[in-house]
Order: sequence, then C-alpha cells, then structure tokens
Amino acid sequence: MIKKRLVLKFSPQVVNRPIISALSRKCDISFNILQATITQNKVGRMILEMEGSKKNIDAACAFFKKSGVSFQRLGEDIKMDEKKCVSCGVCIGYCPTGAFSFDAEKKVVFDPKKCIACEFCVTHCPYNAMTLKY
Amino acid sequence: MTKSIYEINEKIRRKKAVVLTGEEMVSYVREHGVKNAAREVDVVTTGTFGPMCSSGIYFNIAKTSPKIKLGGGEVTLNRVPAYAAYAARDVFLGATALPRYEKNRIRPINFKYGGAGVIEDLIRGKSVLLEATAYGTDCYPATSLRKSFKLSDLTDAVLFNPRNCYQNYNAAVNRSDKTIYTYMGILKPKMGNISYSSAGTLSPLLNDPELKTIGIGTRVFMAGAEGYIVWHGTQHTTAVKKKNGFPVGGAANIALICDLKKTSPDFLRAAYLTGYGVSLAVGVGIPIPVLDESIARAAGKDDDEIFAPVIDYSQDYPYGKEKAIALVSYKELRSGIVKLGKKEIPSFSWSSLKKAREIAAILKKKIRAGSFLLGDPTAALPGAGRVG
Repeated sequence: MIKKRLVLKFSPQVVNRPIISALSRKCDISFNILQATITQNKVGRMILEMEGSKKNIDAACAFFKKSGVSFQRLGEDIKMDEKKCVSCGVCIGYCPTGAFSFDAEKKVVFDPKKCIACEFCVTHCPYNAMTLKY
Repeated sequence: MTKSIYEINEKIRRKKAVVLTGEEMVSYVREHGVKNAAREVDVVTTGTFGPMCSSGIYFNIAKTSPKIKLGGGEVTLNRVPAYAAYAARDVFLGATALPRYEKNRIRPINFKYGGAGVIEDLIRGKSVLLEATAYGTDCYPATSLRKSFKLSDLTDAVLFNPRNCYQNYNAAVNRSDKTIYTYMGILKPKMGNISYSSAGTLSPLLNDPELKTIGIGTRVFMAGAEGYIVWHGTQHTTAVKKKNGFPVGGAANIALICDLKKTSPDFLRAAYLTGYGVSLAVGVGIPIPVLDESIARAAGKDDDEIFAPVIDYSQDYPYGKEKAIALVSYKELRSGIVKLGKKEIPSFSWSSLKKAREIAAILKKKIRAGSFLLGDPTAALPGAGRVG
C-alpha cells in the first residue's frame, strides 16, 4: 500500500466531465479530496490524496493522463523564492501543517512533503516570497 | 572603570578594538563576568530587521520648463499619493501610503502595493511614474506634470524614519472569538496564536537600556547605508515599567536618517500585511560602546532576562486600554510555544533573527576593519542616563 498526494489540473475542455466519479469506478483505490476549486477562467484545481497498491495508483495516474487531466506531486507547486524570503518566520505561525521551520542558522526552510497547498502562505507572506506554480 | 567613545575610536582606527556581536557578548559575560567584559570589550554590535511603518523618503525633483509648484497641488508616484506641501519640488512619500484602488477591495484586503512598494522599486533601480497637478502661479506656470524617473535621476533622496528601533514591544494575542487582521499579523481567535516583533538580545536599544551611549549624532547601520540618529523618535518615552532593568513594552525609540541611494534591498523591503496595510522593513544596527560595567551587563543579557507584555488586540489595543495579560520572556517567545495558564500558544515573529544577525556581523566586520567609527553623540535623548 502506498499513499500519494497529487495536484490535478482540469483544463476548460475537461472541467465539466465527471472524471473523479469515473476514477472511483475504474480504479480500486481509496481517495480523499483535500481541496477543489474552479477558477474564473474555468480551470479546475484539485488536491487528491490516494491510497492503494502501487499498481492501482499507477493505473489511476494513467487514467488521469488519458482523460486529459495534468498532475504533479503535491508540494511541487508551492515554491519559496529564497531571494524574497527574509526569514522572519511569520509563515511558521500561519501554516496549518507545520511545513515551515527554522534551521540552525534561523533561516526559514520549507518542507514540501508537509504542504497541503492550502495557499495560506502564498496569500499572506508579507514579502510575497511564496508562489503557486503549476 | 569607564572608557570614552574617543578612546574606543582611537582603538578602532588602529584596528585594535575588541568587537563582539550582542549574542557573542552574552556568552562572553557568562564566561568571564561583567567586570572583565567591561574592561576587555570595546564595542557590542546589534541588529534588527522588521516592519517599521514610521518610515518614508523625501527627494527633490529636477527642474522642469515651464516650472511647476507641487506644494498645494497633488502628487502621486505609481498612483500612490505623496506629500508635496513643503515647497515647489520637494516630495515626501510615506511607507504606508496606498493607491485608492487598494482601499476598495474585499476585506480583509490582500495588499499588493503602496508607498513601501514604490520605495523598494526605486532602490531596485526601477522606473517610477510621477503624476502631479498644481494650480499654477506667475512664477510656476505649469499646472500638470507626468514624468518617469529612476533613483539615479535624483540629485538627492533621503530615507527618514520619524520612529524606529522600539526598545521593546508588545506580544499580541486575540481574545475575541473571530480572526483579526492587525499590524502584528493574523491573530487567531481565543488566543490561538501570539506574535511578537523584537530582535530580543540583539535589539539595539535593549543593549543600552538607559541610553547612556546612544544619542543625537550616533552613527548607525541603516538599510545597508551609514545613517544617523537625528532626534528621539515620535512616541519616545523612558517612563515605563521595568523588569531586570529593561523596559517592558514600547519605551524609547529613535528618529533615523540616511542616503536612500546607498541603501540595499537586502535590508529595505516592502512588507504587505493582510487586512492591515503596507509597511517597510528596515534593517538597523547600532554599535554600543562598552563604556562602563552597567553597559557591559545590559549588553550581556540573554533572551530570558527581557520580557514583552502580552496585549489583547481585539478589544484592549483598539480602544487604548492596553493592559498586560502576562509578561513573557523572549526566550519563551522564541521557543515557538508560550504557556499562558494551562494554554500552550504557538508564537511567531515579525522580526527576522537571521537578518538581525547578518547586520550585527556586518557592523562588527566594519568596526574591526577600522572603516566604521563610532559617532560621539552631540546631545542626549530625553530621559537618558549617564556613564559611570
């Protein structure tokens, strides 16, 4: 059994299709939708946590590819701009999952593995050091 | 035993001065005692880096033909309103100024630009658009001006802080049952978090709590440039509660000035505070000459000896009824968890310790190399103590 968290991107062409419903019928995995939004320009973004055998999870990924849904691992889309970060540590107080911490030199470090892409840091970092890139 | 700033400067010139950062001084005093530290150490360097709203710049625009008198008219820089009522060509821009469009958005506003943003754009070498309207006079006939300029186009540009380097500051909590958006950050309901803003043991004015060495004319590190203390800051006071000889809360502060052209974006940055506004983070470092034992003792204190008052920002602060819920040490604040009664509250800081350390280290290097002499104050700040 493995666990995988993905950020899925639904283009305007596929955003209306019941892809997740098809996923539940076709692939034997359990999943949890952590976040789902559709932007003004009709692009869907979903954070999905999947659990199952490696074979089935690979099959789910292949299914997304076939259905025209692009994806990447969660945490890869939230980036820290080291030049903009001043290491104040405000994000440490804001992040709900503890993805930020101080290292020994009191530099703020970001752990993408703990990130659930809630984007709170992207919106509230006073120095705009966090960005969402997909 | 006392020393004088003159004597220390002589040692700096000969590159013989013993200089430690505020943090190194803590270990030195612990190891060798206050007496030895007062004798052996000449200068302790400090540093702080955090948002300080009370910041701005002023400059003089180049002559135009026909001439324009901005005073009495209206001026914006990248659509951010500036103040031009000094004279014909002097423009002052405050860090917290906002373009009109920023104020018309859904609350809590996620600010994207303002005075501090213009200041950062200028020091990054970007072009800024000045738009002005005036009423026109016989000697200044022009009634409008629209012109882009860069920092390098200006003959003079000055960074000025009417208030900076608060000696100490509040720690903020929210006792209400809804989230609030303040200059101390986003505060969760029912004391869900606690924020603070001080460099603690490295904080400049906590290393000379009685202002024995810091005064008008003190030379400082300011946003990467050499700056000066020109006055006491607005809201300066020394009549405050003390604990272990250090003020608890706001207390003393200073007005600072430096050449904007010599500042660096590494130490001068626009800060955007959700739901509150725009501020400017200014890096400041002040060298403290160790003139007597009391200064050695103060400069050698650790974070567990200095305390911040915990203030409620939902009801008490907004209505001027600040009353300390508790006093917490900077050691506890820095640990990430503050215990109030049975509650464990996660803490976070607005002041960057990493940057404060960088500043103290730069200042130490410059003084040891003989390239930064101490300014001997020409006048004391109100409420200052005396050496000896």
